[in-house]
Amino acid sequence: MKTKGLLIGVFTLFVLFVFEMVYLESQNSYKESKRLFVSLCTLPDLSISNEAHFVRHRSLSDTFSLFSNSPTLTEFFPSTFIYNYSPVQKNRISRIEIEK
Amino acid sequence: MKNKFNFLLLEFAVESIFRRGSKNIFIYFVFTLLIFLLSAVLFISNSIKSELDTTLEVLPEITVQRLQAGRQINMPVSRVDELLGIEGVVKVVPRVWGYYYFSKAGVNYSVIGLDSFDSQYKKLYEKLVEKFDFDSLSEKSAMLVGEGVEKSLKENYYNGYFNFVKQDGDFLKMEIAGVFKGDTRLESNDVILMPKDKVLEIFGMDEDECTDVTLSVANPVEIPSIAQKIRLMYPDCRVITKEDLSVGYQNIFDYKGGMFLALFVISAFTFFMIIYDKSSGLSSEEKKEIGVLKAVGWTIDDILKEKFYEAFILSFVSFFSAVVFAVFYVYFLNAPLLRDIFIGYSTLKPEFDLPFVFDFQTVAIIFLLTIPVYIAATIIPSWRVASLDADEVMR
Repeated sequence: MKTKGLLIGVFTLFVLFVFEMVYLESQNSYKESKRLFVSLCTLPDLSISNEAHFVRHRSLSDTFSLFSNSPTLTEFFPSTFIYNYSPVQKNRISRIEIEK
Repeated sequence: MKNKFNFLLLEFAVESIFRRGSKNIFIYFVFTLLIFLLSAVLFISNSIKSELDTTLEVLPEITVQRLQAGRQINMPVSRVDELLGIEGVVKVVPRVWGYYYFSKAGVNYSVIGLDSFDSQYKKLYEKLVEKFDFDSLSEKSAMLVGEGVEKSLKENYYNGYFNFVKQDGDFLKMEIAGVFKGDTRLESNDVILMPKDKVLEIFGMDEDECTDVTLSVANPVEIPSIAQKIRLMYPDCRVITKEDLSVGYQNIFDYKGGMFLALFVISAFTFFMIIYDKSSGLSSEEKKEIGVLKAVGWTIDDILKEKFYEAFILSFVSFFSAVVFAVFYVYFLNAPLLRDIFIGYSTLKPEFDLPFVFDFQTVAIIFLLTIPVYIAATIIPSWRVASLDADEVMR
């Protein structure tokens, strides 16, 4: 009896899994427009972070842009960078708390 | 006959799982949670990587950037003709692009200049852009923006236009002619496309300058030799091939996924240690059970088989439910919280859908990392007890 219950449970999981796979596979249709967009603008990388230049197109940024170009990051040579806070957006230091 | 699968033994294993219900339910939940976390992170990393790989295919083969004192500087457009002279190069495009920092929102927009706003490209843009007014694009000062750009401008009361601050402090008003469709959000979220001359104006560049140059090469085998030729022609240039980009991606995601894997290894081993500890000090009841089984004529082989079934059923059900939940969490709910490991902290976060990729290799690795260890951690202590004499165990 319990084995039956367990089997039904596993079977339900399997059905759920197959449903997920089939549904997601059918949703995966907009690759073409992405390719079209990238071939148009020809820039690599994804827009998942925009806080600094070298992060957005990091595969194109050069070694020292970390220290030179960034508007929100202050250069601080040996330990790469410290975060600056935006004077307009928020009146607190972003993310990294500075210990007093 | 001897090798026939014994269903009664399986039945006994299931009964025995339910008999120690509360302990096994606890193991089930913890084990499921662990595998769920690991597979969710690996799924996210796989999706983003596959997204990068699809876009990588259509990128130009070589990018040439001019460096001075370790920094990238503009390149004279005159070099384009010389680069076209290299055999095997099909197309050379001088690009004008850069970052525009909008301090009120605290974000960088990627501003890209294009020549191709003629009517022949109308169809192409129609596929990519919604709320579209193509004619205004070629006639007036207008631009195409990503969804994130439009949103962040609206939040700062720029409805349908934006005033760029030029190098000399003047303003340049640009109307928004269209917004890129949500499909391309991962690529277009922070992008502003506009005619090339406007970008030159905003960035204060000369007309005979470009940011960098891209080359298309017909035969992929020739890419390394062409890259070498360019390096010799222009010693001040950095030549990036498509392969360099793909290596870069690999590094980023190996780093992020690997960092998580390292954390996971610690928690997983703690879990296995608890399991091992718990089962190596098998409770007296469990020991007694093994003793009784031996006394009624079960062999060590039978007992180990039964323990194996028990451990396999429990771990497999946990594994399977964890994978089902992880797929649901990552691809249906778009991985809230965990996704933030992979994206920046900026305000221009795209609300993208992770593209669905089911990588059997990843699932197989998770399976092999977790289930055999769990089975071993339960079978070995049982074997120790089972190999003793029955009366010694029961005493």
